[in-house]
Amino acid sequence: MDLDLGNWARPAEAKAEATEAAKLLGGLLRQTAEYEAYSNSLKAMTDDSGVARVTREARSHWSAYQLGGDGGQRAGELMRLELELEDNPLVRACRLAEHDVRELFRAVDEIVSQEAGIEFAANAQRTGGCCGR
Amino acid sequence: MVLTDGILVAARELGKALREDAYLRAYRGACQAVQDDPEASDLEKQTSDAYEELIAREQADAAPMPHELQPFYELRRQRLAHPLIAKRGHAMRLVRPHLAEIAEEISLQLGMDYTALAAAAQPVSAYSCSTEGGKILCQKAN
Repeated sequence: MDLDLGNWARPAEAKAEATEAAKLLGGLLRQTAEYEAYSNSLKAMTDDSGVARVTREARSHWSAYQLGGDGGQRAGELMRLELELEDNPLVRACRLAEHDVRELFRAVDEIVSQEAGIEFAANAQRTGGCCGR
Repeated sequence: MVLTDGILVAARELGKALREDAYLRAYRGACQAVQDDPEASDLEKQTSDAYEELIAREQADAAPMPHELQPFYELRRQRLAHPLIAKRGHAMRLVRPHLAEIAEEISLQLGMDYTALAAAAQPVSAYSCSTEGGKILCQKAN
């Protein structure tokens, strides 16, 4: 199926401009308090031995559950571990920071999308996307 | 949350640069063609209405029986087979890799996936295009 690209093409220039603009935007987002808080909370969470232990246990129960061994008990254990994780202050802090960074990125994406005339992040995802029917 | 002037300007510049892309222009042209064609736009509306109705029934605990889904699937088949709608879908498939490449530049700066954090939390199944403030915008339809 042919698409009429007409006299519009300046693809290389437009792409170079978009690439530079994206780099600049990424750099500026990296300097925000929201990004810093999220990045720090992620690191604190992944470095924590308690969180690592619970995650390891959960993974092990999940593997066993998938193999079909004692489903009920495994599911109960998984739920308990999930609650334990959700109760962990580092995990809670990370969830809150993630919420803030999502809010920021979505607001930014809305501006990009409005200017571009297409939903940017949703259609830029490597898997899925929203518009190709 | 405060968007600094720098971020606002950079976001707008990125949007404008994307807007100039040949494939994006072709996509917007394909969207406009669907909008301007009464048959295609009617098919879009009918499919969207039918989908909304099915969702409303499901939410009201009156999930439709399989045979009641047939009219919706038939509408969807007609919509996908419509040449202008198919052309728009093709245009979108060409646009996506370009958008992904540009988004990757943001992700590289951040060290995390920008699209996963910036896109809607729930996967979106389908969108349609409409005109808003003189711009054609791809929006959630169903």
